[in-house]
Amino acid sequence: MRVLLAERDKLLRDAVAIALEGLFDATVEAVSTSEAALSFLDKAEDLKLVISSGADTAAIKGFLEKKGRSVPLVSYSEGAAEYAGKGIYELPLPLDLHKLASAITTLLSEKKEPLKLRDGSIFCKVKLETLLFSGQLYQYDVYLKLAEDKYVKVLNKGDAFGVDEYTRYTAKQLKYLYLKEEDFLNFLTAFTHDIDSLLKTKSELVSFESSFEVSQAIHETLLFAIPRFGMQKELENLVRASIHLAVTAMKKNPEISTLVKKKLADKSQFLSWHSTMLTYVSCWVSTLMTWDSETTHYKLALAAYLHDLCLENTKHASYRDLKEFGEGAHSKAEMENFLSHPLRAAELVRGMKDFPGDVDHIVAQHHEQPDGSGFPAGANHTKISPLAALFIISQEIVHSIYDQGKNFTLAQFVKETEQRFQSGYFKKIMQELRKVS
Amino acid sequence: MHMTQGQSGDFFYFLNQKEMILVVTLNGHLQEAGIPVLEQCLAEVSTLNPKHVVLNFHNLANLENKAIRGLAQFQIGLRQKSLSLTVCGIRSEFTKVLDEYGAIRPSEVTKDLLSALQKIIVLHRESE
Repeated sequence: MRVLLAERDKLLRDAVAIALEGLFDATVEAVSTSEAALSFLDKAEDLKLVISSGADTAAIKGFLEKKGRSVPLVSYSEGAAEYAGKGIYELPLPLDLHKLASAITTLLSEKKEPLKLRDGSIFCKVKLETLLFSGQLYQYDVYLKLAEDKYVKVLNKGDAFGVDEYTRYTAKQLKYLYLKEEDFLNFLTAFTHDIDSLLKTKSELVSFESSFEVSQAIHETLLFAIPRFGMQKELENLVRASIHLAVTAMKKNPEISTLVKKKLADKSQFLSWHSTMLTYVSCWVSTLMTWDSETTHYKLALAAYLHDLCLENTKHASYRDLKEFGEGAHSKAEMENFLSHPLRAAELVRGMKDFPGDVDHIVAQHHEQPDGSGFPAGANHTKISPLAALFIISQEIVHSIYDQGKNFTLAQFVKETEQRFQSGYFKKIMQELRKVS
Repeated sequence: MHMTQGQSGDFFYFLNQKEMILVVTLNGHLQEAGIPVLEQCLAEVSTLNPKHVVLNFHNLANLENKAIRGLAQFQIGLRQKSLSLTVCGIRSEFTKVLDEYGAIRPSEVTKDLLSALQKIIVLHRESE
């Protein structure tokens, strides 16, 4: 792994270089000036990582942006707050080498190389429900995966994927079919268009039951696609379409008893089920509070959909708090990833074009607690926004639905959690829940 | 940057020097016969003029009691030739015997290479 290290202090330069060589088997180019860093960047096409002290970071970032190059960057400077964004990690001085090592591990694990077959093809999975929903005549070849490196074409361009095809594949316990990478984003654009058309022309047909499956399938697609393609406009549009679908379904005011019927069928899909269920439950709670404008529903649904997307291990979404997380055996890097995922997800939201205000705050605060025992900021009820409070309680409801399944009752939930949520907006929300329980 | 190694039988050392920090990594089985290798290493370190030395035991698989005195002398030499010595990566079974022989200073010992480098960063910052 080739790494550029731009550091003016001789001793720090030595220490970081030795650490990188020892921990990551890196070949380090250590430079002491911005000019030397830019000169090296200009020549080194195979660079995997840049580490830079504050004085040189702006010049390096500017150079990479100008050249359109995407190289993970760790920077550190006096007074900086620890921050993790897509492709960038910022650390404060004095430099903590253990944190630096965790930051590098986090950044390098962001780039997951897709499997490339011998002929250079890369395949992207598409859930059967997604294909069925669209029901269009596909402009792409669709493949079945036989083995890790073996795919066979099952639908030709122009073929339709209808109920018969869906039934045939689900009977064989199949969940996904595959498109070639070059067709994938175009397919998602067409799929987004199908959802938008449905919402414009036949919104009366959209029910909670029908939309939930599609929303969950789209979430699974995002989990696969965002790490691979980044939050490209095609994916942003798909998120918006899915959220509109959920908000449209929630206009019909389904009861909580209807929502809880949507059980998790496959534990490997926990995160998508959890996020989709939270989309609907948070909208349901906001209706209860009469904070039910379409904009508010949209904000909550978007926050629910994206709040855990930055978890490297999707199983970690099942942990309610640090205590639960700490009871499992996790590496330091996993702990760092878990601790920082609310802020990184907030950053993902801020990076979306025209994202509605508040959503990033809801996402950043989704693991805070009214007594200040949450993370990452340890904010208490006086610092947690009303919508974030509603979101945190909704998340607890979703966890309870998962834990208790068909035995879940709102009355029991209120009884068990009332003491925890006794301040500020938390108390008001619990009062409304008590009324309907 | 300076990288080199010296060897005798199953024991060898590896030097990795940047401008200010030198890492001496001991590898293999250190027996009494390996003491001349440590002396050779010390002579080489003298030519490098490091500010800070990290003595890394991570790859030391075996340590004979008869070699401990030589190892203690080696550390004395390293202290004389640098501003600071930090020792890291000692296996727990070696820590006990080295401590009993008075061959390590607890204040110089850190868990691993990363912790050793961190200690040097802190020392450097405090001296500024």
